[in-house]
Amino acid sequence: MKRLVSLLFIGALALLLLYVVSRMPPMGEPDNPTATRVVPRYLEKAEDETHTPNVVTGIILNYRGFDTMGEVTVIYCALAAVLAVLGRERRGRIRDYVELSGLPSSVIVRTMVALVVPFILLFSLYTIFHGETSPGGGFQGGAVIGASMIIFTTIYGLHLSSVKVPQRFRSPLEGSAVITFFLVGVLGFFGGGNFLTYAWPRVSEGLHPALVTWLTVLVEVGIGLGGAMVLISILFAMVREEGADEPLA
Amino acid sequence: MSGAFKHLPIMMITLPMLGAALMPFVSYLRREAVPWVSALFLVVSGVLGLLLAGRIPPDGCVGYRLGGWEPPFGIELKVDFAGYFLMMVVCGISLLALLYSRLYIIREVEGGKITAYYVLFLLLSASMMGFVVTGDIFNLFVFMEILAISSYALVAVTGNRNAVRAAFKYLLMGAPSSIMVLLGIGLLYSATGTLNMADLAARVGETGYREVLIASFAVLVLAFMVKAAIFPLHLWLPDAHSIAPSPMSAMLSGLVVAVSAFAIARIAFSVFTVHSWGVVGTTLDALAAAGAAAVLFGGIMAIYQRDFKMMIAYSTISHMGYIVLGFTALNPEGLTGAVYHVLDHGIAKACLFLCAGNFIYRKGYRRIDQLKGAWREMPWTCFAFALAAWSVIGLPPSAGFISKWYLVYGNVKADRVPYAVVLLIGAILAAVYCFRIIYYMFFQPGEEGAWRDQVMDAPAGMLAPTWALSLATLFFGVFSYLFLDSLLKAAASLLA
Amino acid sequence: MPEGATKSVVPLFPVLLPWISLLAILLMPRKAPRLRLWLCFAGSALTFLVVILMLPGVLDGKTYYFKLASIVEGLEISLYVDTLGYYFALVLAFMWMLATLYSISYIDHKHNRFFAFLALCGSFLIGCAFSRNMFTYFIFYEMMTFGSYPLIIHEETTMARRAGYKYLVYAIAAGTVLFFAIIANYFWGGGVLNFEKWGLLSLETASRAALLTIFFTYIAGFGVKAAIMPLHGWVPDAHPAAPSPASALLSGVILKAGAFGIMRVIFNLFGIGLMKELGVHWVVAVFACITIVMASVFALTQDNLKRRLAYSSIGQVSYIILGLAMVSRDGALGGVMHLAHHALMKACLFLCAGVILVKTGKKNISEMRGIGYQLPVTMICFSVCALAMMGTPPSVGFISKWLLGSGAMQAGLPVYVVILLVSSLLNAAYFLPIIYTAFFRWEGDEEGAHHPKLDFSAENDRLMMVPVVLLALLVLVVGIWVTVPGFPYSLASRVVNLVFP
Repeated sequence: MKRLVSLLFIGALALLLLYVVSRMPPMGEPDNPTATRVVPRYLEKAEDETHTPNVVTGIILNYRGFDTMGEVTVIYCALAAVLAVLGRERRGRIRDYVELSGLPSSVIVRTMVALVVPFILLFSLYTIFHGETSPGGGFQGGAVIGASMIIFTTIYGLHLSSVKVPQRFRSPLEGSAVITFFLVGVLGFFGGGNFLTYAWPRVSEGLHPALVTWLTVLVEVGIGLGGAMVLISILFAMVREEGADEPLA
Repeated sequence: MSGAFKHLPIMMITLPMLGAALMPFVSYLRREAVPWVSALFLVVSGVLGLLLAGRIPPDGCVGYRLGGWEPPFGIELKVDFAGYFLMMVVCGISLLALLYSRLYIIREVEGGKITAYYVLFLLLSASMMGFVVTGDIFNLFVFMEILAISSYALVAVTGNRNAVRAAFKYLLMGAPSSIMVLLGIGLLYSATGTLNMADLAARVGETGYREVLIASFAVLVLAFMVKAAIFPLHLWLPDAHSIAPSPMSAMLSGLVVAVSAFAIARIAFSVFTVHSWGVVGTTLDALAAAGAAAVLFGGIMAIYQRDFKMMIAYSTISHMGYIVLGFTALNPEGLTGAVYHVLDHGIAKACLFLCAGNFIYRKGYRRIDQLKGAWREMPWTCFAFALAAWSVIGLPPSAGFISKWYLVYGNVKADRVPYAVVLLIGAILAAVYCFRIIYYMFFQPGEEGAWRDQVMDAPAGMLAPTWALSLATLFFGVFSYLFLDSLLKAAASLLA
Repeated sequence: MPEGATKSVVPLFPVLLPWISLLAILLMPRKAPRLRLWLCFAGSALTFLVVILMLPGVLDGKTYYFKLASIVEGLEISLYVDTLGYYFALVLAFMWMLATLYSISYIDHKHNRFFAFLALCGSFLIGCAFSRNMFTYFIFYEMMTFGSYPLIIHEETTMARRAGYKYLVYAIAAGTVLFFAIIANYFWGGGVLNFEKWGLLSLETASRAALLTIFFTYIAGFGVKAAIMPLHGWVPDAHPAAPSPASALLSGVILKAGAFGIMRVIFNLFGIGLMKELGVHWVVAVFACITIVMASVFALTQDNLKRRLAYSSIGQVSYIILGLAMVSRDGALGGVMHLAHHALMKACLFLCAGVILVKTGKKNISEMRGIGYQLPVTMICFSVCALAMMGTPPSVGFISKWLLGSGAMQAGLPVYVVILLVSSLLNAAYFLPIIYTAFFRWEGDEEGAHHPKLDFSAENDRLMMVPVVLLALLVLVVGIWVTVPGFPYSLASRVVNLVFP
């Protein structure tokens, strides 16, 4: 009965929303509200105004930079949430990493991973630093770093990877995205603008492109570093190795 | 507003965020410092807020362009007096709950998680402060996400089975509502092509996509009804609020739901505005009906509870109905009542939960009948409880009386006498469930051995925040005239 | 600022002075319990003194005004002393002082709580009397209502708890109804609730239905405190349960706060003219008459002395209401004066009941045979007041009844006189048996034993006897020298002259 009611409710809601979708402005028409209000300016002037060749980066870090600051806070918040529920990682008791983890990882896999991970990291750096001019950026780069650590951890186990990226190194950097955003934001005041102004009014116009580029890259690096550390910490918190202390929950 | 002062609102919001980001580092340096440093960030935030006092015109608002971009293209903070007022409320209550946590939380949360607790706490306060003053609807969503995620986690932070279950229930209702907010914003964007509230307000009237607007408003209201636990969508609240650690319950019950309820008002008045009430009026009527049902349902359920945290949680459901009935009256008085009720509800509920926390901390009692005779051993907590309950009932001269006055007056003025009567019945119900506890605590002899004869109250570090809140209920009642004039003007300009 | 009022801080003093008592309780060393109690008395005595000092000014027709806070335009919390408010304040400050004195010796446990709330209620009641508008009145009134709860359940017996519960239920419901009335009045009264005019509302600003709603919600709200039937339920339970000084105050003053509220509504908010226009005074009068007769009938059946007195109070407070509802000059005068007169008489009766309870432990009238010989002074005072209640001259009771009767004739309604006479008859029927039992019955009287000797030794407690005797004397003195300035007539006649210009 309960399910039937829920089903009916959801069905009715879906029908209503479908009807609404049918009344929405048709996709892709040039005179849609979405295409006439803010978008034209972003597309036409973004490069001049934000000194950023990549329009997407210009929008997320500059026009709507505060939203992005919120989003990195969401990511950081997710980490804190995971830590609040699961706690920090508990390392296993196994000392010798060669016979560790009990995962079916052969010598070939271990060697390959050891070879590939540095290149993945290098690629992630490229993604981060190039986010300003081409697709990519801090989020993506950070995710790639995180992914590389996921591969590493699945093969080599938590013990070794948490030696490579120890907690005392990770935990201060977890918030680096938020901190960088905050610092760049506050620098905006001192540059004579508002919070998150990249092109400081106090600096002469000619220097703006360089200034914006450097600040954007700084923010990208912060996001990349923070994102990576958050992903790694979440991963470590979720891994439960054999022999580790049982969590309390 | 000129000079450095214009940066104060954004600093108020971002400083606790910075604090949260720095907290793992602080914890690495010195774990005992975490509560104090967290409190410091909120204190600084609050001081900055006090510097703003008198600089926000009551009948207008101060815009702040982030990154210096003009409104429809960049994000804007719109600090009107109501928003500023609520920001201060959030800051103050958060600070007190945070200070209270220091002693309380080590009992319920294991050592390794305490830093995460403070991180989430700071993020929660920061997000609420951003939530009430932002002038961009997508930014509202972003803050709502932070708010929601940190609340889920903070309910589960004790890690025991019931807490995780309650948090999961909260998540199950909260996550779809977050998606619905996004859906509503998406629909709105498709019909207007903008996200700035002021720009939206101008374009909502012109755009031809009527159905889309109606659907968008309905979806947004529905979503925030879940977040604010308004009657038929309140199911997550009693468990989550009663199981969370007490200072957290104080935050959730006192601020989170109330701020979410205010978001509905914000969307109704700052985005859809008076021009489109013809379009969205039915939804508002339905919302008012739900609010009235909430007042009665919450009050009646609260009377039947045996666990006092559960009782306070149901009382919160009832009071969310008050807030909704206030702003759906669509006149300045009603809206003022709603905003003032966010304040006094926040203070009083937070105080009640902290008192409950004191009882749990000292005695581990959670049942109402265990409170019989509590006065002999914990007089200070009992007195604080009585003062806060006074405000919950809405008796003069507490802050609750002032907001009740405006809520009822707003409804009478809007020719909604039945709703005014519902509000009064709600107050009677509140009197029933509050006086029962007061009676047990002060006038009923306790069971043998339940309470000692000598005074042994909660430690001063916990009593001080509790008492600060309970005295605040009186302060904001007696000195309400300091704020009401400005609030009325602010409400009028919000409705104009 | 009301027209012609003097801005003065004096009205604030009586409101704040009782807090001295509170401070004394909180701050005085635990080792000096008696000293603390005496300081409480000093607080109430000072309050009375300050009120007395304002008398010449008030008799000169001055009004005082002091603003505490202005919440928004038109809605302020402020004190305003006009003749009517002053009259009530004078009565209650006096009663308060005597009750505090009496309590020092009467209360035998949890002194701190009792005296603290006694002082609080005193402060709030003076606040009620000195309110400038209904908003302020309501704030003080509600605080007083809940502040008197600990006084009622002070004994903490099962009976007291049950009575306290009933009291709370009635008080909360009444407070809510009143709250609604005030909001409606504020809305239709043009955003003000002030008392300084003699008629704030009019048919021009509000519809008839709205005015009727406001009026009846007001009457229902205040009617609970003023114990108009059928809203009197809490009174007969609360009085016997409370300690005697608290009962004396309940009957003498707190019930009157309801009646005073009705006075404010009728005189200041609606005005006599509008009352007549709406024709609502009939309804009130009918309820008052029913209450007067029914309460007396109920009183007849009670054996518990304080319960009988409580029913008597219910009836007597309705005299005041009836006086107001007559809408005639003498009726209003009688009603207003009866507020003070009844306070004198009934407070004395309750204090006597307290003496009896303390000295002999007897609560029921049937047990009181020969008590007049054990406690002669008390019972003589009791008899004086009981006779005054019946309306025997020369006493205050006679004056009120005379004026009420004359008011009824002025209004052209002799039926009220009949009601008053019936009520007096019933009063006699329930008071005379008490006097009879006390003085004309004794142990073994049926076997022809001689009556016992008068024994003054039991009444050695001066703190209790002084208030009793003083009140009994005043019942006579005020009833004989009616027009002395400061006695009820001097003030009440001024009020009535303003109401019926």
